[in-house]
Amino acid sequence: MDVQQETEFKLCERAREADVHAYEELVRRYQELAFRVAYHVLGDAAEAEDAAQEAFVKAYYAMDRFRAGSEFRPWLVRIVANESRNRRKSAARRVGLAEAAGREFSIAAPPASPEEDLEEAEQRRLLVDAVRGLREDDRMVVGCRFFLDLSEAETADVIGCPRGTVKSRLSRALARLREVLPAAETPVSVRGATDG
Amino acid sequence: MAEPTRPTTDVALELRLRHLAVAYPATPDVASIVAHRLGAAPPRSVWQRLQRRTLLLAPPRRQLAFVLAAILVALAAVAATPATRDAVAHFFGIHGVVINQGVRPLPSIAPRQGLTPGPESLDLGQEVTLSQAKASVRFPVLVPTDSRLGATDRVFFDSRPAGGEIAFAYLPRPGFPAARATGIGLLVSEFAAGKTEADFFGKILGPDAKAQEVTVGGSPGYWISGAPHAFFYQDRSGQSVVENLRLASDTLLWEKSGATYRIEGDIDLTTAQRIAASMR
Repeated sequence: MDVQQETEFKLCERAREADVHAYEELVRRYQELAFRVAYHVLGDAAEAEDAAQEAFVKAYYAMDRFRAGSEFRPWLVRIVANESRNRRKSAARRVGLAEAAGREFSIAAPPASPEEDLEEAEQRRLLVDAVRGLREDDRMVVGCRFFLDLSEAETADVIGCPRGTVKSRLSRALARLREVLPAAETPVSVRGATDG
Repeated sequence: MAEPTRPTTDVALELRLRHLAVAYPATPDVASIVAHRLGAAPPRSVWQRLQRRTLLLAPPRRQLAFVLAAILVALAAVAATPATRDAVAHFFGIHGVVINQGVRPLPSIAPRQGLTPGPESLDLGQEVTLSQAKASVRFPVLVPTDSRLGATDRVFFDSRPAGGEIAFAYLPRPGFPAARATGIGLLVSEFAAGKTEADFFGKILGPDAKAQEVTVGGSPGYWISGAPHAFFYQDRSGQSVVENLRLASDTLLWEKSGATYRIEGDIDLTTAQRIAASMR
């Protein structure tokens, strides 16, 4: 185990023994991920914050069921996903789907840094816009796999689909993304990229 | 200028996406709020009693843990109705619901898996005869005599809670259908009530659960309905005992003569009261 993993193992152990400070550290490490997962599901920052908070509290109470030595992140992601999806269901009943759908999903490309090519920055912006314009399901699978680096299993938990369908969903999402991307784009300038 | 091309493969597009470094809305400081909710100190008088508990690490399947504050936090967290919170809080002798308290993680509340439904799956202790059960405890053991309920199928004694706990298990019969998780028709359990000044117990309530104050033969009690999750009580030695949800069904609880009695099953309050009234 590397240093990071070992520390997390110890944190989990202590959290299981009701060490709130240890748990707080775990929360700090994963709050960004939890918030972003919830944001994908709920589309609203305030609700995502509530969902993440609630999920962490519930996870704390469930720590005794967390098997020592297993990975914390997938377990946490599942709890966050469940909490978020439950909230979305009850929110939909309360506010009406139309209103919920009207929220703007705000992700953005970071601004151009001084040393980089403006053209590249513009391409990034277009790509992010294109992702933002995807329908919710497609945006979620793209976001989970590429922006949040979740595994297929974790992505399946967030979307609420069988694990085996994540690949095909991702393919379809990428196909739809390609359709909306502007025709003129610079080629990928990443070392080792496969040619088309 | 390089010739513009559309990425023709998924791989190319994937790589671009992975390198995007997308900015999401700012991450809120969830950690501080969660730590506060989990770690803030509760009012002294209640907590002093509670703090004397030691965490008893029992056989792996079962942990005895102190969870009063956890229940109240859970209540707050699942937005139980004010009436429910007040009923539970009143029973605990706490005025006003206490939230944001220091708590210990709840023990596992998963029912035992893999066994056919029946009394064994509830971990009720050892099977005994009625006279053995009566001889094992010092509180009045009451047996239902309701004719529609009939005779108990099996009696169990659990020595783990201080003062012991007795359970009467009834297999399903007319009027007492099998409870969802365990296949049991009715469960009547009895145990020595906790210290009088800290005489409290409760269920961990889920979002649809309700607790209603009732009187059972003149004694104070509660009717808890709507899928509670677990049950806990403080035993005579001051240990807090959390028990798995036994039947995931409605429960009538009351205290009398230093003992707590509990009737659980897929029945309504009228039936439960009838059974309670028949107990002697």
